[in-house]
Amino acid sequence: MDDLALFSIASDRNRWLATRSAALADNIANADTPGFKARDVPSFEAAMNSASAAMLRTNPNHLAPTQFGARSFDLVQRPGEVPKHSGNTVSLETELANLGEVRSQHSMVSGVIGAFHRMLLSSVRG
Amino acid sequence: MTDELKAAIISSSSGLRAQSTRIRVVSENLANASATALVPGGDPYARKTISFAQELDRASGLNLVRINAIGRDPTPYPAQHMPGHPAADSNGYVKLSNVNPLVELSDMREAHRSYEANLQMVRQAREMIGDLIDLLKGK
Repeated sequence: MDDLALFSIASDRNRWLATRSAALADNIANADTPGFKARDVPSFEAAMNSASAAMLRTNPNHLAPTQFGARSFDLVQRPGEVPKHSGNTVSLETELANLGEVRSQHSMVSGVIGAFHRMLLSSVRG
Repeated sequence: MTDELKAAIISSSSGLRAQSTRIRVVSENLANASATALVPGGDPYARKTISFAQELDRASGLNLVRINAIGRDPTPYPAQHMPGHPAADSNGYVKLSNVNPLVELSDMREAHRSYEANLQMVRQAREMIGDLIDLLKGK
Protein backbone atom coordinates (compact mmCIF):
# COMPACT_ATOMS: atom_id res chain seq x y z
CA MET A 1 0.00 0.00 0.00
CA ASP A 2 3.02 2.26 0.45
CA ASP A 3 3.10 2.63 -3.32
CA LEU A 4 -0.01 4.71 -3.01
CA ALA A 5 1.44 7.85 -1.46
CA LEU A 6 -1.90 9.43 -2.16
CA PHE A 7 -3.48 8.38 1.10
CA SER A 8 -0.67 9.73 3.24
CA ILE A 9 -0.52 12.98 1.30
CA ALA A 10 -4.30 13.32 1.52
CA SER A 11 -4.32 12.74 5.26
CA ASP A 12 -1.45 15.22 5.68
CA ARG A 13 -3.48 17.69 3.71
CA ASN A 14 -6.53 17.04 5.87
CA ARG A 15 -4.44 17.46 9.01
CA TRP A 16 -3.12 20.74 7.64
CA LEU A 17 -6.69 21.86 6.96
CA ALA A 18 -7.73 20.86 10.50
CA THR A 19 -4.83 22.85 11.97
CA ARG A 20 -5.76 25.76 9.79
CA SER A 21 -9.36 25.68 10.92
CA ALA A 22 -8.18 25.59 14.54
CA ALA A 23 -6.09 28.70 13.82
CA LEU A 24 -9.06 30.40 12.16
CA ALA A 25 -11.31 29.46 15.09
CA ASP A 26 -8.74 31.04 17.38
CA ASN A 27 -8.70 34.22 15.31
CA ILE A 28 -12.48 34.45 15.21
CA ALA A 29 -12.77 33.83 18.95
CA ASN A 30 -10.25 36.61 19.58
CA ALA A 31 -11.76 39.02 17.06
CA ASP A 32 -12.47 41.51 19.86
CA THR A 33 -9.44 40.88 22.08
CA PRO A 34 -7.17 43.95 22.31
CA GLY A 35 -3.65 43.39 20.99
CA PHE A 36 -4.40 39.98 19.47
CA LYS A 37 -2.49 39.25 16.25
CA ALA A 38 -4.15 37.04 13.64
CA ARG A 39 -2.31 33.77 13.08
CA ASP A 40 -2.34 31.22 10.30
CA VAL A 41 -0.43 28.16 9.15
CA PRO A 42 2.21 28.50 6.41
CA SER A 43 1.12 27.26 2.99
CA PHE A 44 0.78 23.49 2.63
CA GLU A 45 3.63 23.39 0.14
CA ALA A 46 6.00 25.22 2.50
CA ALA A 47 4.95 23.03 5.41
CA MET A 48 5.56 19.84 3.43
CA ASN A 49 8.97 21.03 2.22
CA SER A 50 10.16 21.89 5.70
CA ALA A 51 8.72 18.75 7.30
CA SER A 52 11.17 16.33 5.65
CA ALA A 53 13.91 16.94 8.25
CA ALA A 54 12.43 14.61 10.87
CA MET A 55 14.88 13.50 13.56
CA LEU A 56 16.00 9.90 13.65
CA ARG A 57 15.71 7.74 16.77
CA THR A 58 19.15 6.19 17.36
CA ASN A 59 18.55 5.32 21.00
CA PRO A 60 15.44 3.76 22.55
CA ASN A 61 15.53 6.47 25.20
CA HIS A 62 14.90 9.14 22.61
CA LEU A 63 11.46 10.63 22.46
CA ALA A 64 9.37 8.80 19.90
CA PRO A 65 8.05 10.75 16.95
CA THR A 66 4.30 11.21 17.07
CA GLN A 67 2.32 8.23 15.92
CA PHE A 68 2.01 7.42 12.20
CA GLY A 69 4.62 10.10 11.55
CA ALA A 70 1.86 12.63 12.11
CA ARG A 71 3.12 16.07 11.37
CA SER A 72 2.06 19.03 13.36
CA PHE A 73 2.00 22.39 11.69
CA ASP A 74 3.26 25.50 13.42
CA LEU A 75 1.25 28.67 13.49
CA VAL A 76 2.78 31.92 12.33
CA GLN A 77 1.56 35.47 12.56
CA ARG A 78 -0.26 36.38 9.39
CA PRO A 79 1.61 39.22 7.67
CA GLY A 80 0.06 42.25 6.04
CA GLU A 81 -2.96 42.71 8.29
CA VAL A 82 -3.79 46.26 9.28
CA PRO A 83 -4.18 46.62 13.05
CA LYS A 84 -7.32 48.23 14.40
CA HIS A 85 -7.28 50.90 17.07
CA SER A 86 -7.08 48.22 19.77
CA GLY A 87 -3.99 46.62 18.16
CA ASN A 88 -6.09 43.67 16.98
CA THR A 89 -5.40 42.45 13.44
CA VAL A 90 -8.34 40.06 12.98
CA SER A 91 -10.76 40.85 10.18
CA LEU A 92 -13.88 38.68 10.40
CA GLU A 93 -14.41 38.98 6.65
CA THR A 94 -10.97 37.54 5.88
CA GLU A 95 -11.45 34.79 8.42
CA LEU A 96 -14.83 33.76 7.04
CA ALA A 97 -13.47 33.79 3.49
CA ASN A 98 -10.59 31.54 4.59
CA LEU A 99 -13.10 29.36 6.38
CA GLY A 100 -15.04 28.80 3.17
CA GLU A 101 -11.80 27.94 1.39
CA VAL A 102 -10.90 25.37 4.08
CA ARG A 103 -14.40 23.89 3.83
CA SER A 104 -14.29 23.28 0.10
CA GLN A 105 -10.70 21.98 0.18
CA HIS A 106 -11.54 19.60 3.00
CA SER A 107 -14.54 18.15 1.23
CA MET A 108 -12.48 17.77 -1.94
CA VAL A 109 -9.73 15.87 -0.11
CA SER A 110 -12.27 13.69 1.65
CA GLY A 111 -13.96 13.05 -1.69
CA VAL A 112 -10.65 12.04 -3.28
CA ILE A 113 -9.92 9.65 -0.40
CA GLY A 114 -13.40 8.16 -0.73
CA ALA A 115 -13.05 7.75 -4.50
CA PHE A 116 -9.68 6.02 -4.26
CA HIS A 117 -10.97 3.85 -1.49
CA ARG A 118 -13.86 2.73 -3.71
CA MET A 119 -11.40 2.02 -6.53
CA LEU A 120 -9.28 -0.15 -4.26
CA LEU A 121 -12.34 -1.99 -3.00
CA SER A 122 -13.60 -2.64 -6.52
CA SER A 123 -10.23 -4.09 -7.48
CA VAL A 124 -10.34 -6.36 -4.43
CA ARG A 125 -13.88 -7.53 -5.16
CA GLY A 126 -13.09 -8.09 -8.81
CA MET B 1 -1.93 17.17 21.10
CA THR B 2 -5.66 17.09 20.96
CA ASP B 3 -7.57 16.72 17.78
CA GLU B 4 -7.35 19.99 15.85
CA LEU B 5 -10.98 20.06 14.81
CA LYS B 6 -12.00 19.52 18.40
CA ALA B 7 -9.59 22.31 19.40
CA ALA B 8 -11.33 24.57 16.87
CA ILE B 9 -14.66 23.86 18.55
CA ILE B 10 -13.14 24.53 21.99
CA SER B 11 -11.76 27.93 21.01
CA SER B 12 -14.96 28.90 19.21
CA SER B 13 -16.97 28.02 22.26
CA SER B 14 -14.74 30.26 24.38
CA GLY B 15 -15.54 33.02 21.87
CA LEU B 16 -19.26 32.27 22.12
CA ARG B 17 -19.08 32.47 25.90
CA ALA B 18 -17.22 35.80 25.80
CA GLN B 19 -19.65 37.33 23.31
CA SER B 20 -22.70 36.18 25.25
CA THR B 21 -21.29 37.77 28.41
CA ARG B 22 -20.84 40.94 26.37
CA ILE B 23 -24.51 40.75 25.30
CA ARG B 24 -25.46 40.31 28.94
CA VAL B 25 -23.54 43.46 29.93
CA VAL B 26 -25.19 45.39 27.08
CA SER B 27 -28.62 44.25 28.22
CA GLU B 28 -27.85 45.30 31.81
CA ASN B 29 -26.82 48.72 30.55
CA LEU B 30 -29.93 49.12 28.41
CA ALA B 31 -32.23 47.93 31.17
CA ASN B 32 -30.74 50.43 33.61
CA ALA B 33 -30.38 53.27 31.11
CA SER B 34 -32.85 55.46 32.97
CA ALA B 35 -32.12 54.32 36.51
CA THR B 36 -31.43 57.26 38.83
CA ALA B 37 -30.13 57.26 42.40
CA LEU B 38 -32.37 56.27 45.29
CA VAL B 39 -31.21 59.11 47.54
CA PRO B 40 -31.23 62.84 46.74
CA GLY B 41 -28.02 63.90 44.98
CA GLY B 42 -26.74 60.31 44.74
CA ASP B 43 -25.00 58.68 41.81
CA PRO B 44 -27.18 56.88 39.24
CA TYR B 45 -26.42 53.61 37.45
CA ALA B 46 -22.91 53.67 35.96
CA ARG B 47 -22.52 52.08 32.56
CA LYS B 48 -20.69 48.74 32.74
CA THR B 49 -17.81 48.02 30.39
CA ILE B 50 -16.36 44.66 29.43
CA SER B 51 -12.93 43.81 28.11
CA PHE B 52 -11.51 40.59 26.72
CA ALA B 53 -8.06 39.08 27.04
CA GLN B 54 -6.43 36.04 25.53
CA GLU B 55 -5.60 33.05 27.63
CA LEU B 56 -3.32 30.19 26.61
CA ASP B 57 -5.03 26.84 27.02
CA ARG B 58 -2.17 24.48 27.86
CA ALA B 59 -4.04 21.37 26.81
CA SER B 60 -4.57 22.48 23.22
CA GLY B 61 -1.94 25.22 22.84
CA LEU B 62 -4.64 27.59 21.65
CA ASN B 63 -5.38 31.13 22.70
CA LEU B 64 -8.83 31.09 24.21
CA VAL B 65 -10.72 34.22 25.11
CA ARG B 66 -11.56 35.10 28.64
CA ILE B 67 -13.32 38.02 30.24
CA ASN B 68 -10.58 40.35 31.42
CA ALA B 69 -12.68 42.67 33.55
CA ILE B 70 -16.16 44.05 33.87
CA GLY B 71 -15.61 47.66 34.90
CA ARG B 72 -17.47 50.90 35.20
CA ASP B 73 -17.48 53.68 32.65
CA PRO B 74 -15.96 56.80 34.31
CA THR B 75 -17.78 59.20 31.95
CA PRO B 76 -19.39 62.02 34.01
CA TYR B 77 -23.14 61.74 34.52
CA PRO B 78 -25.28 64.20 32.63
CA ALA B 79 -27.39 66.32 34.97
CA GLN B 80 -30.90 67.52 34.30
CA HIS B 81 -32.90 70.14 36.16
CA MET B 82 -35.90 68.31 37.67
CA PRO B 83 -36.67 69.82 41.11
CA GLY B 84 -39.64 67.52 41.73
CA HIS B 85 -37.64 64.33 41.26
CA PRO B 86 -36.95 62.25 44.40
CA ALA B 87 -33.23 62.01 43.47
CA ALA B 88 -32.78 65.76 42.90
CA ASP B 89 -29.97 67.45 44.86
CA SER B 90 -30.36 70.76 46.74
CA ASN B 91 -30.09 72.74 43.47
CA GLY B 92 -32.80 70.66 41.81
CA TYR B 93 -30.45 68.73 39.50
CA VAL B 94 -30.82 64.98 38.95
CA LYS B 95 -27.82 62.98 37.79
CA LEU B 96 -28.82 60.67 34.94
CA SER B 97 -27.11 57.45 33.95
CA ASN B 98 -24.18 57.72 31.51
CA VAL B 99 -25.59 54.94 29.33
CA ASN B 100 -25.96 55.97 25.71
CA PRO B 101 -28.51 53.63 24.06
CA LEU B 102 -27.01 54.25 20.62
CA VAL B 103 -23.58 53.06 21.77
CA GLU B 104 -25.14 50.04 23.46
CA LEU B 105 -27.11 49.07 20.37
CA SER B 106 -24.08 49.30 18.11
CA ASP B 107 -22.11 47.25 20.63
CA MET B 108 -24.91 44.69 20.60
CA ARG B 109 -24.79 44.46 16.81
CA GLU B 110 -21.04 43.96 16.91
CA ALA B 111 -21.31 41.24 19.56
CA HIS B 112 -23.98 39.55 17.48
CA ARG B 113 -21.76 39.59 14.42
CA SER B 114 -18.85 38.03 16.30
CA TYR B 115 -21.19 35.49 17.89
CA GLU B 116 -22.45 34.45 14.46
CA ALA B 117 -18.91 34.08 13.14
CA ASN B 118 -18.01 31.80 16.07
CA LEU B 119 -21.17 29.82 15.53
CA GLN B 120 -20.35 29.39 11.86
CA MET B 121 -16.93 28.08 12.87
CA VAL B 122 -18.47 25.47 15.19
CA ARG B 123 -20.89 24.43 12.46
CA GLN B 124 -18.12 24.04 9.92
CA ALA B 125 -15.82 22.07 12.24
CA ARG B 126 -18.71 19.70 12.88
CA GLU B 127 -19.34 19.31 9.16
CA MET B 128 -15.66 18.53 8.59
CA ILE B 129 -15.70 15.89 11.32
CA GLY B 130 -18.86 14.50 9.72
CA ASP B 131 -17.11 14.31 6.33
CA LEU B 132 -14.32 12.26 7.88
CA ILE B 133 -16.77 9.91 9.53
CA ASP B 134 -18.61 9.55 6.23
CA LEU B 135 -15.43 8.05 4.76
CA LEU B 136 -16.15 5.00 6.88
CA LYS B 137 -19.47 4.49 5.17
CA GLY B 138 -19.18 2.25 2.15
CA LYS B 139 -21.13 4.10 -0.51
